Amino acid sequence: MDYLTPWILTVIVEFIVIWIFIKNKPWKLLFYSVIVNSLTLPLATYTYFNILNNFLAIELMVIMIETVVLKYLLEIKYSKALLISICANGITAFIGYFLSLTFK
Amino acid sequence: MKTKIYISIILVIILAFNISFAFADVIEPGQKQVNLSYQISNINNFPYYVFLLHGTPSPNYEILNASEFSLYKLSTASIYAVKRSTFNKNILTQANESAVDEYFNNNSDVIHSNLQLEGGYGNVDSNNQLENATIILEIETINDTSLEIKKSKIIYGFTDGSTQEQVFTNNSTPVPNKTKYNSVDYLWFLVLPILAAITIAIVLLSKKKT
Repeated sequence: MDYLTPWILTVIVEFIVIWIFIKNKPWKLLFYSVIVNSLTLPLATYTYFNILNNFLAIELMVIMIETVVLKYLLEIKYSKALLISICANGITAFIGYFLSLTFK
Repeated sequence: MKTKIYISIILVIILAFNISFAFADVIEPGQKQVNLSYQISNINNFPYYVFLLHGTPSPNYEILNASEFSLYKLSTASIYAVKRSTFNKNILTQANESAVDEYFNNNSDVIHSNLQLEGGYGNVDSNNQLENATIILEIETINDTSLEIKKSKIIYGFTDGSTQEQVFTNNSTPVPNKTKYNSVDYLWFLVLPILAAITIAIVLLSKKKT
């Protein structure tokens, strides 16, 4: 199973989204994107394959977890963290869905 | 206003968890089908009999030999035997579906077996290494009225090309005990998130200190 490609793709996309909102210290934001997605992506993948085969529910859980983590890492308000998390995960989910259809 | 937002979030979560996957026959995303086949190990020890497979919805009939055979995944089938001296293949080739049913159910030449075979092994997670399974059947006894067949063992085939053989000790199918995940999977699912969580904790603690 290829884990690296979706991980790299998610890290880059989420970094771009975070950077659009924060526009400060890009290397630090990239590092945050790496650690946040290294936490949520494997757990989400495992949950999807073994515990809860419901994409939407897992995306919601990821959004909630990332909201909390981003709020404290970026020292921003919950509303802004939620917005970043929704945008980032929405875009990666859309890309993932599109790629899964393309390379089916 | 806040209460409305909370209620909305809770409703969305409840709805998300309840979007059920009632696809029945369809393989769900993240799942794969494991092919199941059967083989009668000692069929050549009974040269005076013809062994037939008949099931619902298929096969209509199939003459068995020592090779592996499989069924449509939603089928259930049984093995029958007919003495070679009385077997007339034309009865089956010329008959329609209901006549074939009639032949297997009511013809006195047909010897019914004790075993019912299922067409599908089922679905597993797509990252499961299990690829196929072959159940080895063994004819125990056969006489004019009964055919006793037992499931002797199951051979699991994995995506890396390896196989694993397990003996049936009772009626339940032994499960493959090969590890579901390899070392890369463990790195991904366990080590990486733990390292990430530790790193996040360290960053947050250092932020708190400053």
